[in-house]
Parts: sequence; structure tokens; C-alpha cells
Amino acid sequence: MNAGLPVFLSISDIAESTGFGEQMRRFWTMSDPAVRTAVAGTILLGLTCGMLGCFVVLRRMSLLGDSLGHAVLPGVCAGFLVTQTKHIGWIFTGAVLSALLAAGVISLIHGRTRLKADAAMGLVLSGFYGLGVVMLTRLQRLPLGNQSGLNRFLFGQASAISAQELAIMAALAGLVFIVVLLTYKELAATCFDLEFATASGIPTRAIHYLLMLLVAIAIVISIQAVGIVLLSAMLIIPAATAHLLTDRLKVMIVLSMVFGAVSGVAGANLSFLKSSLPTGPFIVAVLLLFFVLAFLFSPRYGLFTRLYGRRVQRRQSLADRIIKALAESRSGTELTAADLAATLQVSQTEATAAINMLRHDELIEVAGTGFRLTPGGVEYADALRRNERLWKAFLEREGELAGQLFDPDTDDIERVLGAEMIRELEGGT
Amino acid sequence: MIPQGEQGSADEGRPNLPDSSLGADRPLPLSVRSLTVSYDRKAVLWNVDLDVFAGRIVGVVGPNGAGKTTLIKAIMGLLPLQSGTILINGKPLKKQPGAIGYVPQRESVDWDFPVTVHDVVMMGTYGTLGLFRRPGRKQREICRRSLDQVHMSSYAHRQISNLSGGQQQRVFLARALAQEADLYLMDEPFAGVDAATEAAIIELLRTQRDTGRTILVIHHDLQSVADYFDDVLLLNRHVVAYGPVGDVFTVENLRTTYGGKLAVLPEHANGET
Ligand SMILES: Nc1ncnc2c1ncn2[C@@H]1O[C@H](COP(=O)(O)OP(=O)(O)OP(=O)(O)O)[C@@H](O)[C@H]1O
Ligand SMILES: [Mg+2]
Repeated sequence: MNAGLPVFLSISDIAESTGFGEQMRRFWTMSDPAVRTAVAGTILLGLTCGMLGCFVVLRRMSLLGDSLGHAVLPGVCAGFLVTQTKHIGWIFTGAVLSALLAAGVISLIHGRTRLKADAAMGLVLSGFYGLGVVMLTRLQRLPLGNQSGLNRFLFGQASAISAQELAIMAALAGLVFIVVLLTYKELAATCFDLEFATASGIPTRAIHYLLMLLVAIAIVISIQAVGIVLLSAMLIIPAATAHLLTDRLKVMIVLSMVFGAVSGVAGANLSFLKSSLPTGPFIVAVLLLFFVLAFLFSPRYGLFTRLYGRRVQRRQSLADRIIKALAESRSGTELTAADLAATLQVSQTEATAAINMLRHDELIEVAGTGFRLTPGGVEYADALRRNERLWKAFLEREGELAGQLFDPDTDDIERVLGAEMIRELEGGT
Repeated sequence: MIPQGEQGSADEGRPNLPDSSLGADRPLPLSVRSLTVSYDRKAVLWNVDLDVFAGRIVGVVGPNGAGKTTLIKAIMGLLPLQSGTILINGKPLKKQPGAIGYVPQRESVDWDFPVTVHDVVMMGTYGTLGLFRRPGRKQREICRRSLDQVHMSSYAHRQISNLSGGQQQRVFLARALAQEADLYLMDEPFAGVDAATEAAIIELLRTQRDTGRTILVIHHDLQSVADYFDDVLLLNRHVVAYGPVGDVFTVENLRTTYGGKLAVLPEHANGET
């Protein structure tokens, strides 16, 4: 990669001279208009990328986001060359055009040669980005090159967003938002099942190109603050995080937008604390933090949550089996922990853990060297037996009760079948 | 009886309708003329002619790689044609988007997609609803009815990955029903489905047929062909035979279709063993 970190402007210079607390205060009171612009800008781009990212990720086009993100560099440089100044209108135009050109080239290579999509995207990503870096190095040798601040397009600098640029960003973000609202149902249907959507008469090709265009716009909005190198993270990570947390597309979109906006602001804040720190890497760091948390602790799909849930479930079902074993041997001698572990074929530690749980719930008690059921435990054992009998009777008769739907793992039999059905089943057995 | 070989003229290949009263002047739900489809340079389907009559359940049978999936994708306009024409109700499909209902193979989608059963079935109504319009009460009603028909109403708000294979298949059927099309194309709807569900599905298809709908079903189990279908299309890269099950589903035709590799012949196939 190239020549040093971005050149920094106004705010960052001040940042160096003052302390951490002072900078925090300056950021969060937002008395400085530059801070307000930076915050508004990162919120806008976070919302836009978060929303579009969901469709990109669900359509399995993540790599496309990455390719288009890198492919804007030559356009940015060309936009600068045209005007010889940092005129944002031209730079934005150049970026959109070069992203769309890249999208076109990818479709062309993928459609007309035997190369697969990933190869086409890899080619375009490295090709366009390489060309962009060459142009950038040339530009820096020009007299205006250095003061152009073009470098910050690589890693992003939220504080460099001007009021005029913010207005353009807001207009573009608003446009994206409206278009997505209007075509939500087509976007969702196309992402879920492309062939079915096409067959049922949805203009999926047009929707595909529309999505590309929207992604190009989102990328352009983000270049200033996030930078080209890490752009795709802004599209992919919020959506991926949200996908781990919910089973509803609309909820996923909202969550993803929130993650995008929050990490945008947090990244802007962090980079504001010390000068010469670019914004993009900080935004991505915060995004990653969210992702790791979701990956580990998502209520349904988190790694820890699942492991923990399975352990609890295992212990519960072992406890039920212990109750049954004790109930069966009630007349005879008490069973020790070792006896129970042996009859149920589990390790002694597992058995002890379950026994402790049962003792805590006062379902079993110590008797001599072993354990026996408390009166509460006897009741519980009866309930277990009854439930088992009911499920069995129900499953045997499932043919004639086929209209009744249930899920033995999660449903409570009394609630599923209703009192009447249970009476009927008990009468029959 | 004489097995019908490859079709010469269009008339020869037509099955004899049991009651010819069914609108002779109405255009056919599906009419395919000299259709050739190729991937890369290799022709997968070659010179296929096919006339499907209204109110029939047509079984499409043939070995793996015979081009069955290719045929129905071509009919739906999902593949470029090398040659040939396809008319739906006498008109090209482009003029009447959404005229065909589709049940794809179950593996064709990502079941982890964040949608509920209800959302998926609702997507069946999107085609006719048109761009920019949101589904309303009418669409919800269609959706509810379709779910009822496949006995999946109680699962309406489940995420689709929490379903068994047979239930997923029924969701696809409900989505197709929500399309309210006259012609349905189904790609192996019985794959991985238990006997009870299979019976329920065929029953559903029959009630649909009795309301005048036409259904093309790709099917692999030769034992049940005679029982399930009115007409059968034996396909292996081209049309081996096509017509009413009783006429066409013969041992000899099956041998031609499967190239003599057929070890177990179905009990119900006509002709000497
Ligand atoms: N996208 C594709 N590109 C190239 N060749 C393909 C493609 N799809 C299918 N084919 C080839 O076309 C032929 C017919 O495939 P098709 O999927 O239509 O068969 P099928 O009759 O549905 O088989 P099956 O019973 O296994 O589902 C096969 O030889 C297959 O290899
Ligand atoms: Mg197939």
C-alpha cells in the first residue's frame, strides 16, 4: 500500500495540542460545527450502508461490495484530474462511474467467459485498485497533489467532510432510502429466490442493476469518512452481525442500520481523540466488536449461548432420568451417586451436578449413603410419567390426529393438546 | 398397442382427450414447438414438441440429466433458447408475466434466509401485484388460504429453517398456490417427502386439476406414475413418448427412455415383461 497516512486538516491539528478529556468533551458537546458535520455524515453513511448491506449479504454478493469499493479509486483520481482541485461533485461523479464500470466489467467477464463470478470480481478488484494507486502516486507528484488531501480517500477522515459535501451525502442517502422503500418487496424476493422471482414476473435483471447502482451510491457516500480500503466492511459487517441476531428481514435491516450508524459515530469519535488517526479503521474496529459479541452471545445463534443452552438441556434431562430411577427403586434401598452414574451411564461429575441441582430444588434428599425422593420429588416423578404416557399415546394416534401440530422438543404437551384432548387420550389408554 | 415413438407431426403426438368437450377453441395452456436448449455448445434438449391440454396432471419422467429441469426452466423463460417457440395460453410468456406457477427443487434456496413461512408464501403474490405496490388484505387472504390448503397454517410465523424437508416442500407448494396461475410447473415436489405428505400433495394437485388448472410434475418414482398422472412425458434429451398414461407408459417406451439400464420395471407399466 502506499505513501503514508492521510494528510490531516483542521480538527486533527487541534487534537494534538489538547488532552483526552478535553477532546471527548469537544466531541460530545458538538459545539464545533466540524464535529457536527462529521457525526451527521457518519450517521448517514452508516444508515445507508447498513440498509443496503443486508441485501448485498443475503444475495451473496459480499465480494461484489468489496470489488466495487476498491474500484472507485481510479474514478476518484480521475475526478480530481479533471478539476485539478478537490471538487467533490466531480470526485463523486468519477467514483460512481468507475464503480458502475467495474460492475459492468464483472458481469461481462462472468457472462461471456468460462470464468466464475469470484474470479471476475477478484480480477476487477485488483485491476481497478492497482490502476487507482498508480494514478494516485502520479497525482502526488503534481504540485497540487499534496495539498489535495486525496490520500485520505484511502483510509477515510470523517472530520474532513465539509458542509457542502454533507448536503450532497444527505440528498443521496435520502434517495437510496426512498428507492429501497419503494422496491423493498422486489429486492427481498430477488434476494431470496432469484429464479422464482424471475419466473413470477418480477423484473429481476432491472432490480439487480438497481441494487448495483444503490451500492455504488452508498460507496460514494462513504469514501470520505471510511476510505476505499475498508469500504466493504461497512456494507458487510453490520448486515452480517444483524443476520446473527434475528430471523426477520425487516428487523435485520433496522439492526444493521443501527450498527452502521453507531459504529460510524464511535469511529469518528475515536479518530478525533488523536491527530493523524484515520477514521475508517476505527469504524471497522467498532463494527468488529459488535460482530464478535453477536457471534458469541446471540440469543439463538451465538456460540456460547448454544453451548451453554445445550449443557443446561443435558443436565435437565439427566435430572429427569435420575428422578425416574429413584422413583423406580423407591421401595428398595436408596441409590448413591455412584449407583446413579452407573445405571444411567454418565460420568460421576455429571451425575453429581444434576443431583446437586435436584437437591437445591428440594426434589431429592440425602438418605443414609444415598438419595431418595422428597414428597415434591414423588409428585414430579408422577408428572413425568404422565407426560411420557401422553406423548406416547398421542404419537400412536397421530394418524387420526394429523391436523394437530406440535413440537415435542419445545412445546408443553398440556398447552399443545388442550385439556379435552388429554382427557380423551387418557381415557383411551 | 403401438408405442408412440418420437413425434412426427404435432397432431400425432397429442394425447386423446377423454372428453373432447373441453374448449377446443381455447388456446392450449402450453404449447412447445421444436425447442432446442444448450448449455455452452452442447444441446441438452433437442427438438422438443409438446402440447399440454387444460385440466391434466402431466408427469415428466426420465433418467438423471435427461433435461427435465432444463425443460421447465426453458418454459419459464429462465434459459436462453437456441431455437423454438413456447406459447402459454396461445401467447408468449413475456406478454403475461406470472402466468406460470413454479415449485422449484428444494435445494434451490438458502433456508437460513431471515423470512417466515408467511413471508415466503406472500412472495407468490408479488408477480401479479406489480411494481411498487404493497401486499394488502387481498394478498393476505390468498396467503392464508394457500397455507390452509397445505396444512401449514400453524407454522405461518416460523422461520423457514426450522422446518422439516416435507414441510419446506409444502411451503413451496403454498407459495405456488398463492400465484393463482393456470399452469403449474413442479420440479420433483415429492423428493424427500414421506408417504402421508405425498398422498396429501397428490390429493391437492387433483383438486387443483379439477378446477381446470394444468400441472406438469417432474417425477422419479416409476411405481406411482400410472396412479398419479393423467398424461406422461418420457424425456431423454428429446421426447421419447408423450400421451395418456395408459397408452404411453409401456415397458418398451421405458426401455427406450432409460436406455435398457432399467433394472426394476414398474408393476403398472403396460406391455409384456
Ligand atoms: N447450468 C448448467 N451449465 C451447463 N450444463 C448444465 C447446466 N445445468 C444442467 N446442465 C446439464 O444439462 C443436462 C440436463 O440437466 P437437467 O438438470 O435438466 O437434468 P434433469 O433431467 O433435471 O436431471 P435430474 O433428474 O438429475 O434432476 C445435464 O447433462 C447437465 O449436466
Ligand atoms: Mg432436475
